[in-house]
Amino acid sequence: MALIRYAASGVLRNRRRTFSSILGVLLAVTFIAGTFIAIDSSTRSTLDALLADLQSDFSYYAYPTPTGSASSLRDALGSVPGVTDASVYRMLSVYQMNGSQGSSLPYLQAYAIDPDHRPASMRGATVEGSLALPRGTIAVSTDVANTLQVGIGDEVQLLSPSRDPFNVTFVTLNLTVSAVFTPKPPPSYFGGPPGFIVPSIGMTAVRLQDADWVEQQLNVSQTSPSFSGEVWIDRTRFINPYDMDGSAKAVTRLGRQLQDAIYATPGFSGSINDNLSYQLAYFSVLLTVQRIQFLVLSFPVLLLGLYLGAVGVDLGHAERRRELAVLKTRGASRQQVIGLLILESVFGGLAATVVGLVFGIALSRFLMSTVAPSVGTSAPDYGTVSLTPSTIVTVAILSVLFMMLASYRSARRTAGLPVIETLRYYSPGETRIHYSPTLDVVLVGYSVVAYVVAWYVRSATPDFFIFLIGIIFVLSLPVVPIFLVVGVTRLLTRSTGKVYHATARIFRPFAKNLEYIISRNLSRNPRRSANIAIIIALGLAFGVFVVSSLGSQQAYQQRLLRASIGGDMAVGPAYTTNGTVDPSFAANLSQVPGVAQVTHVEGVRADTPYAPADLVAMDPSTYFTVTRPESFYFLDPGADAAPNILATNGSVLVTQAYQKAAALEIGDRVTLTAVVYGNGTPTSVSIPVVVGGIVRMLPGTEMGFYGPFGGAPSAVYASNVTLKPILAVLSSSPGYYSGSHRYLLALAPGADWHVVKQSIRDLGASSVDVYQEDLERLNSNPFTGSFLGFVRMEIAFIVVILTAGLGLIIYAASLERDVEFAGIIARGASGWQAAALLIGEASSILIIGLIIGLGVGLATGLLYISFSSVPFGTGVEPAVPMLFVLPLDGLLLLLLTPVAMLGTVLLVSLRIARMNIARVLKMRGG
Amino acid sequence: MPRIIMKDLMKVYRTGKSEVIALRGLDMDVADGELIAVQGPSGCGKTSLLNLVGGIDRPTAGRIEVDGTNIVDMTDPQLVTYRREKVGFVFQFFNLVPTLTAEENIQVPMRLASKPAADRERRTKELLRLVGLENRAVHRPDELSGGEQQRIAIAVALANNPPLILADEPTGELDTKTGHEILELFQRLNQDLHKTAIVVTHDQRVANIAHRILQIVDGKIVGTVTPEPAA
Repeated sequence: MALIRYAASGVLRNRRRTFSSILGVLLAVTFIAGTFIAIDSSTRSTLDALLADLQSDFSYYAYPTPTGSASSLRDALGSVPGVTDASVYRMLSVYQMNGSQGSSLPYLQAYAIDPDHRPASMRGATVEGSLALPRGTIAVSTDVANTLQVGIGDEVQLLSPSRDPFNVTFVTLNLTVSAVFTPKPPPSYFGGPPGFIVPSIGMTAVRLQDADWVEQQLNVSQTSPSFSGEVWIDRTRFINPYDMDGSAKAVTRLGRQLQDAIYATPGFSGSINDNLSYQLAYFSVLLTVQRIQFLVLSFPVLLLGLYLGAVGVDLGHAERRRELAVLKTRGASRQQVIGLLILESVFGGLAATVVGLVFGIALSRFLMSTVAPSVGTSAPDYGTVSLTPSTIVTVAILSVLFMMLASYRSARRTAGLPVIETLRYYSPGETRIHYSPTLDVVLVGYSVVAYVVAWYVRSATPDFFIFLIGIIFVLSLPVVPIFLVVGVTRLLTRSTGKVYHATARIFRPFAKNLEYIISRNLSRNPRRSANIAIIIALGLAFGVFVVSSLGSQQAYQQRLLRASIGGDMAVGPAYTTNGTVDPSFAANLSQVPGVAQVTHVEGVRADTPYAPADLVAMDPSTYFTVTRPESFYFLDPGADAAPNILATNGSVLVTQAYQKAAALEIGDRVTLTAVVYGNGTPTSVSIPVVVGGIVRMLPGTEMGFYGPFGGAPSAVYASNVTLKPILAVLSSSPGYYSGSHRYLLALAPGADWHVVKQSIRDLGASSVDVYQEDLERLNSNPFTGSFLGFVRMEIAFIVVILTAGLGLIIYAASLERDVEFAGIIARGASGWQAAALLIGEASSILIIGLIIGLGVGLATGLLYISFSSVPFGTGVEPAVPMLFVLPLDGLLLLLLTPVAMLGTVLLVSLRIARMNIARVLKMRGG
Repeated sequence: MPRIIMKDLMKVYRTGKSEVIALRGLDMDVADGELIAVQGPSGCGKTSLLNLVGGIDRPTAGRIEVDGTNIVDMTDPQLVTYRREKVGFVFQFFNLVPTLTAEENIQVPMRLASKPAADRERRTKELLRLVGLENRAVHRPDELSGGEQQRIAIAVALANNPPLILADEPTGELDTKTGHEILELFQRLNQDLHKTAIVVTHDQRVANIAHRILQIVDGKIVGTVTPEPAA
């Protein structure tokens, strides 16, 4: 008990020492507290984002008797307290729809809706025209309008076949298009609860009241068609994100009321489907998963905080070694001294909890928008601060645990110092640190072996031995960078002083012949300097790894997009009514303002020898100028030779996947064969070609099963000239032998892709993919944005740890050397000369940490990139490689971090430069 | 002509609202080659006097002339040069750099004075011989006894051959025998090397080897004693 009081007074007695001891852990738990408080405070925003994907809160099926009235059903549901809207609709039995130009749509979804209470799929639709839908009119989706080539005011014809299979006739009904609508994009999942209309190709709608009339006209009346619909509620009335149990109960009871309303409506029975309850149950799990995810993502901050805490605690113990030695002379045992120091760490942990929670609230304001990605429904409410008991307990446990971990080794070491040595003025415990390099050699050796094995396993053909050995090393890869940083730093800084000689020489101009003191101090007191170098190296390694891997990933995604689209745009052709490509489409496309050049690629229905592969025909003279493929696509020979190879009649390029599957080499002769059946007679056309080169793939030519998103494609590329005989016989044969067509476009400089895209759609293009549009969609994904935002915040926090944290540690370390510096000044050094020693020591450590951190960060980034891009055990280069990229803004940040740390060191050194040496020396008497 | 002349020296320490007057118009002359002992009760101003003469601190008022130059008017860089070239400090608690060896500690002032390496080596050997510690040159302070550390500290003070030695309780941390050895060393410095020395001490043996003993009370010299030469 006496120790508790002593420990508590030890913590309170010297606030500066306590602060520097707990600083590392304080920073770590502040980050955790900030993250958890942000998660809790943005609960409503997170719930809104989760529920935003729901197209409706409830949906239902209803089965009417002949007396059942759909509008009565809708009114009954709509009048339940808390319901804001309810829809009702049913399917129509329609076989086909024809347009006025002779085009037809055999597959369509024909609905009868209440325009004043639209179903979920139409609620967010953009509508051209009017959805009032008076009798005789119909609304069609945009894709239907394009296929049938109809617009507002045009006539369409609904068809229904007669029931006589031997004499099929059609009953028709003409309707006028009064609206063209584009349905809202579907949510992230498909196949919702019953009655959920999946927005897809071929949606049409008439007014619900006219459903029977339409079917009568088509002679397909249904006796008692079932109805479907959705219900929307006032969510704020039933759902409280901070009381999920109460919310689940309220929603369940509401579902029962809706069920009762269906049965209470004369002529109806049915079932209600609760879309909310599952999401609410998932929400509680989501919050827990979020906390775990962000806790794991915060691991680098926790590790750095722990290390910094260990350094700070070690400093504090070193300052008190005499006091503790005196305690032992008064009868305290070694165990009691250890217990005292651990107890102090517990009190320090509790202090860090309180301070960390306070700072965490402030930090949470910056994290709100990153931990709860909004999908456009509600922005974070910065005014809400939610500090839950679970957050307080978690932060307290982590804080105390980390402080105990950070203190344990130092406590044991300090308590174990011989008393008599500690009471002497110069304690060898501080000037002679015993070091064994064994562990560090093992760490570095293991890391090197892990990287080598992982590299080998990456591309070797898998067998059991490789799997067994490789899996151990591969699974440990996430922690290998830590081993490497710790091992290399300790080996460099503790097993030899040579590295300090080298770094100290840099400061000779500033230290004026005293630079040898820098290297002596560092090499003879290596533990603390090694730990500081490790902190710097770990922080920088993490920063470099994250920045480079994220930058490389982003560049890779962009490259994948480019590979898929090929040019600035990729356009599917317009088709004629008989299903063939509109022959005027290509010419019209070239005339669209803003289009600089067009190239046509065609998937050819022909056979390749030895292994299956797509055959792609193209015009080399335009293909390469439109797509401007990057050099990495071309494996052998290089990019410069590829256009000539393709332009040479009879010469082809093959993908590496096809080359390996067919065991081909450059120069091999192969035969391409097409077989067409006309009037039952097969006609075969064969073309001998030479393999002129090997590529990963050619962009924009994704035709078959394989593409850049599906892995390395298997394909043969040839010019239209080379494939002319095959193309001729395929195009002249009856039946559908036409392959897939694509037009790749290069836009003119300054062209607005929105305008060009609309113009191309107006030509009747079946699809238009725009590289710029897809890129914007990729970069605006809220969940990707959230992850990137959190990681950037983490890097910024690590910079705070490295600058402010290290600055305080260096400051505290300099305090115990005041007398040493004062003695040097008294013997003829200027204040700045003495300060230069401290700057030199700190900068030497900084340089070592910088080099190791950058090196390990770059190496792990490179390895991660090469790992991610090559499928295990295939030995085949991916279609689009993931290349290593170090973004400029990331590089800038990482260069500014050492500058910021150096600035902090300079500030700390000011104290030495301006020292009142008389006061410091505390000469006896006075 | 006295080497050091102090006239109306005043030093006032202000901490917050309180004021402590350490020296109240002290006058003192020290001749060239003189060994002066300064004695007095705790808080009488002995250490403040040493700080001012050594250029470590600045007086509130008064003059301190060393070889005709008033050091009170010196700028900070001039004081640095003064400390480096004119003064050698010997501290009670030695104040050696713990991570340097004995010879490296001795070389610190010479490096500060940008002396060439050959001169440094030669001078270091000379000083180690002077203090009798040639065989302890490569030992660090924690490997030396208290007396050895103080002897090294004296060697450090003599590194740039300053004419003036200032010592604050040089035997305060030492046992009798070791203290005696230090005393002998001081005597040799004064008699053989003609160093002017001002020594603050409670140790009567040190005082007895001095040419004069100045007694300070409440910041003023209240008496001067000329000790009897030892028989």
